[in-house]
Amino acid sequence: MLQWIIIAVVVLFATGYAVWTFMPLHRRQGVLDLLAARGILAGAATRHRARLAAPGCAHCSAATHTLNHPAPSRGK
Amino acid sequence: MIRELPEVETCRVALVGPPNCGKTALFNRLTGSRQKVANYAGVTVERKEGVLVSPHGHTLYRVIDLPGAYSLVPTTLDEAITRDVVIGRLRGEAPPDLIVCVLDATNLRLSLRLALELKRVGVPMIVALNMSDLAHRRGFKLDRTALECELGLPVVETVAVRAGGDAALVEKLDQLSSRPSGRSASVHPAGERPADVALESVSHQELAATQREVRRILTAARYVEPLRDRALARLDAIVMHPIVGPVLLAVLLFLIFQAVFSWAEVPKDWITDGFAALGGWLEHAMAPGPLRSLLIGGVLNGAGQVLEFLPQILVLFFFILLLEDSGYLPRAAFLLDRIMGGVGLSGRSFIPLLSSFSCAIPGIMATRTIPNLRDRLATILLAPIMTCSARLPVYTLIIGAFIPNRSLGPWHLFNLPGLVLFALYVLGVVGAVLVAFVMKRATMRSSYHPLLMELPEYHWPNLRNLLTGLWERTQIFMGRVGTIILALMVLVWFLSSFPAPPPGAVGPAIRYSVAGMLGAGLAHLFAPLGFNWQISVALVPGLAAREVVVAALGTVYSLGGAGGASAEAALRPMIAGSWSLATALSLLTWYVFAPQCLSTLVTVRRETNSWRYPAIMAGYLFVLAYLSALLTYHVALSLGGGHLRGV
Repeated sequence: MLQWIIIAVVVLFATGYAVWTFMPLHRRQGVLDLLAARGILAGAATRHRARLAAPGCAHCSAATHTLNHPAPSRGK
Repeated sequence: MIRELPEVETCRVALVGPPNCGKTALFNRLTGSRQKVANYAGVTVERKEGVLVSPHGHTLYRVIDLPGAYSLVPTTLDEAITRDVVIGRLRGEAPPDLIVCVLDATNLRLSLRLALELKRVGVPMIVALNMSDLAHRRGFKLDRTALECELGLPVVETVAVRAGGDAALVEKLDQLSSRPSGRSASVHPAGERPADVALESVSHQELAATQREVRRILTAARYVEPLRDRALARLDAIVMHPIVGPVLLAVLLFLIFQAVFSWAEVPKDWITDGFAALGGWLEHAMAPGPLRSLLIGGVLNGAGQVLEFLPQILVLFFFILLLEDSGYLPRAAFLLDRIMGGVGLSGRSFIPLLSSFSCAIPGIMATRTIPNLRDRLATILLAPIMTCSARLPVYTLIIGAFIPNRSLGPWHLFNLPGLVLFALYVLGVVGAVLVAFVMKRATMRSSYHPLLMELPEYHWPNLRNLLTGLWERTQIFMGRVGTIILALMVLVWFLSSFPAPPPGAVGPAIRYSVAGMLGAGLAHLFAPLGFNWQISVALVPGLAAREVVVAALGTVYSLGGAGGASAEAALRPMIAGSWSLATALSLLTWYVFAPQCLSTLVTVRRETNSWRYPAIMAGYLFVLAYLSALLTYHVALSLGGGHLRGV
């Protein structure tokens, strides 16, 4: 019986982890905000929001204007 | 590990410099292993932050390695990021307290312009003349005090590749950061905001004026330009020769793929034996039951299988880093520019496409250096066809099972598996060339933009940089195996084990499981390609990451009745016995083009800000993979490759 409980926990955790990993960042934030509104993992929601605003992937989104509107030539 | 320091001040230092000035080497020298790479691997395409504690221990420097930039007026996304960080305009990134402008001492005439632009931003700055040892050996002369006076900035000499080569810079950093006015001091003219200064476009007149200013400063500093080594000039004449150069490049790549197979064999065997021993021990130590099945069938047969390919991935990266560090890669880009221009790409696509041989994700991110949007999109769409390292486990498993390990050629220099592996890489490149050609003809007609880039000098690769790069790769690979691959393998094991077969059922238990039923459904789709239901089951988790298919095959075949040892050695005879050569070749061809990597599709979505391009990519790759595998299977069948060899 104990083996089945361990397996159930491991499989549930693995499922949750896989879903979470492939979830887009803004949707993750939505899930965390939903939980935070019910008083669960409020700190995690704030940390994740800070991470979204931090550099890394945010670099790409923050700089897309340059891709869409290339700067004038500097005569190279 | 950073020790706790009482009352430590924190200072943000940005390393800015043109590409190939040794900036990343200096970053590695300053921060050692105390680095944090955000999200994806690569060199300077992404944000790298490291920590340096000053010798007196009162200041903690957060050092940021910014992407290489020739100017603050950007022509590429990389340069735009550098500019935005420097002027404090990038969302979520505080502006730097100090800038270290890293310049190549052997080429000051070209790179000093960036220092003048950075000075106008107004953040306290130090100019580091890197590779100064090389410059001095070639007769470089400069009055550093005069240069400091002319620039109005402190100037130090650094040798990033030598221990202690950063001492002068660290000392100057400490002086500047401990000075009361040091970090708040602004050097730009009164009333002129940094953003106003840096965001101006540059007219030809302004450019000419800046170059005149550079010449004036260098004359005042009694600068004597270092002469190029004659031996290196002769080497370049060979390496860059229009006929000899590409032949040399092809030979080099061929030898690399030979080495991937032969060098990695011994450590790979150690890992295989280790997992087999662990599996054997678990079988004896644990009573039969679901937990033992999970540990052996899911964890060891699954994630353990993938881990066995670490040595091959490291050998491949060792060579890529070696070529990058030696200054050869930009030359290869030049050599291929004309060829790539013929199919609608530019030489700038070479580095992103070469990065895609490790993983398409950094390759796609590296396309930010391509200024033309259409060229960039074309390169992004082609990147997944380049044979990424995640395909290597699939290739080596199938090649190992079906291709005899036979030596060929003069002095038995080449081995047959290595030749087949090389052929698969070539097939990927040829496929990419054909797709690029079709794209150019069909939708993406764009004018040819000749490649214009500065070639770095040749130098001996630095062991420290190589080891740091390999360590980063190991961490990323182990991280993937220990997290998402392990999680997916647990799920594959679960889906392959439940529901249990009904009483009195015949045949392997897995056929009655969810995965078995799913595989049976998918097998109809893949039957024309020669794929059996086990392959069809394994392709599903393989969507998460390509290498997962090997782990999934390990799980499926282990649960399919074979059982026993957990290593690839056990899987090879199993697939060799149950697949025909035609099926094996068909699966290899499928994997040359298969769109099976969700992370890549998500990255394309993020880089293009649209689902359109990931959808186009997944669609065309699926059609290409299906048709190629279909063709391969039927050609192989017609040549007599449809027989099973038996175990």
